[in-house]
Amino acid sequence: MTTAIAQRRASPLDALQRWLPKLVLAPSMLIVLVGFYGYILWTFILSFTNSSFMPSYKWVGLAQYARLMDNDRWWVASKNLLVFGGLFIAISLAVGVLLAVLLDQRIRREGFIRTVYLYPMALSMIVTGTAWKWLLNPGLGLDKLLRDWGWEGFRFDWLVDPDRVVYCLVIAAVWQASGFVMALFLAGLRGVDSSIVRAAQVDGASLPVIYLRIVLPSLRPVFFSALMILAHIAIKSFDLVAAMTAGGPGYASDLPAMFMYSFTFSRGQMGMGSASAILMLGAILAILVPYLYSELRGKRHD
Amino acid sequence: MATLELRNVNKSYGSGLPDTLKNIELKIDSGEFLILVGPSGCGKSTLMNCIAGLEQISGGAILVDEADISGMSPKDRDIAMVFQSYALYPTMNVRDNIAFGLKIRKMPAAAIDEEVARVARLLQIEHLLARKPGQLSGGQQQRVAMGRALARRPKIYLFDEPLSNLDAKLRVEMRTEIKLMHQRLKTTTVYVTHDQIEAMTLGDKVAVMKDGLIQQFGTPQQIYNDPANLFVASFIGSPPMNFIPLRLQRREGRLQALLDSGQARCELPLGLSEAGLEDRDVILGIRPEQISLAPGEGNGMPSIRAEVQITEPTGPDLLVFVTLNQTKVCCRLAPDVPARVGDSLTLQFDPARVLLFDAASGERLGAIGNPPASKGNVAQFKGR
Amino acid sequence: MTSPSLRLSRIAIYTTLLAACALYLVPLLVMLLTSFKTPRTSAPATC
Repeated sequence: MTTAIAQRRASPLDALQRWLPKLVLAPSMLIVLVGFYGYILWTFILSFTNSSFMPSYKWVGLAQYARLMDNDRWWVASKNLLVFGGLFIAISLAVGVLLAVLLDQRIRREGFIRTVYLYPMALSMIVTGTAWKWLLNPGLGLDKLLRDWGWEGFRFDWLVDPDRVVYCLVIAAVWQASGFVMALFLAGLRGVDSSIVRAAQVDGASLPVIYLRIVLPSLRPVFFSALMILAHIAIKSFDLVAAMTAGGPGYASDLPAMFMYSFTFSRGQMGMGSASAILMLGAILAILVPYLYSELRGKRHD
Repeated sequence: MATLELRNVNKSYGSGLPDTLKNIELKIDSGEFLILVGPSGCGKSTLMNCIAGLEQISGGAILVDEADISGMSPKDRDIAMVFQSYALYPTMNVRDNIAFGLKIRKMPAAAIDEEVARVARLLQIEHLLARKPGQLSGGQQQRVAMGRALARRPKIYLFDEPLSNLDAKLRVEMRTEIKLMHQRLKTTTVYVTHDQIEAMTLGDKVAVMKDGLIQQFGTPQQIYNDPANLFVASFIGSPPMNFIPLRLQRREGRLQALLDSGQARCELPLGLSEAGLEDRDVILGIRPEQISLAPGEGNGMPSIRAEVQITEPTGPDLLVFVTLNQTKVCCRLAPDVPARVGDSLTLQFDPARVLLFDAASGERLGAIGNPPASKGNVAQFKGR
Repeated sequence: MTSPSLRLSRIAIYTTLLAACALYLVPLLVMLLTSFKTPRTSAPATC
């Protein structure tokens, strides 16, 4: 009898307690639904229309995608993304791992050296792009400096060379991101049980072998984290290109993000811009979905 | 298998800090099992790392088979080590873990497979060869770690507290296995532990360490019956030795210790007769198992009547606590002795087993190495 | 009691790390120096 009464008394508060988390989350969920997924949906729809300066809803099917495929600038941008992304990720990982392994050797003033490698991450890509633009400017930057020092024959005009300008982007981006990779791996290395290294030393392995065959393989999760973060930086690199080369010379250093921006807002080709955005999303999903699937599947088996 | 000798080994970590290892001297023969035992911070793990070559010694020499290996790197020393945390390579399966050291030494693949099979059979881990360390239990990981050491067939095996991470039951099982394996393979082994039971049961020779110094080096029986100082006496044996501070008296030309239980007094005659020991502050040491219930009719052994303060039935024994000379004294009696708190018991001591230590320095008084009179004299459980 | 090969590798490690430090600091230096230049002597304002 008393238990029934107690249940009834608690009921309104009980219901509130059950609903409270949902109520609190509701505004954020709404914003995410509308501002995030809603706009993605809208872009998706727009990519099938003939929108130019303003959105219109005249259906044109896959025409925008066809125009995209015919567009030389789009292909240059896509190819640049692959080259830039690939080189940027590979070199950042290599440099980051190398610096982390070196710093793991009980170095004096480790804190100071670590900060020097990490501070570029604190700069915005605009600052990075601008600084490197000056540095790599033929006639004013590194070029001029080395010639002033006596090395007459030195030329570094990659920034204005259509075939080489992407590498300049890579240099600047690696400079910015490798410190972060280093920090990730240093933390990972610090978590490795030191007795494993000692066991390997007793077994007869030299330090490089120990790192290559035992320590680094055990850091696979760190590799994947770094890879994910670097990949998303690469795909999002709009500000770096804008500051450093503005897509130039011509459109030789264009990247898909920049292409999408300029076509949608500057050139008034919203339909094509939306199509390019959807293709970018598709590329990201193509990498992300299998990775997430394998991660979640693995966890369930554990 | 090889002999191992440590000559005057020193280790310090820099000026201003006290030495971690001071003048370590010990020698074991081929096939012997040496235990390094002591409390945390005594330097036993540092000494093991020095023998392995993972740390450099600051002075002295380490000799294996009469050859000085002090300057060699770990991989040249032909030693294998088993760690407290097992230290298995996490990304390799068990087979590759065991084979790793052999691969580094460029052994031919067929020979490696043979070794792995031999070791797996010995340790009964054949069914685990394809698994990764993360999929093994603690005991299985420990076996794999031992397998990795065995496969190398080194001159010396080093064990760094290998059983400390296992639960109590598994620890006892693995202890017996290690002992069996040592009997079969006759390997020269150095084993570090803080557990004095492991020290007593596994070792051929035991070195008790404290603060970087070897307090005593001898067989387990020597350490137990003939401790060199207060620390060794208190460290080995559970429940620990009773220490009663008192002042010696000289009566009729012989030294005696006066025991006072509050109810009665007893004069314990001692075998020492050196001059200058009377009126000196000493500590009398007697193990709980060396105190027993006096038989009804008495048998000439010094005895004293005392009141029972606490009883602790442990199953195989009954531990009874009395007060002598205002000190709590533990007596190990047979489990069926009908003693309750408040009862008065007559306890007897064998003066031949009693040890004396200098109160100031902790050093043992009287000659070490004199064996107790005869084992039969210990009147254990005679009061039943 | 450090062996000579150990010292050599330590030197190599420090050299690499400090060289990398220098490389990482160059753009900072460039930015700092440029900030002190007058508009006339600094890099032309490209697009």
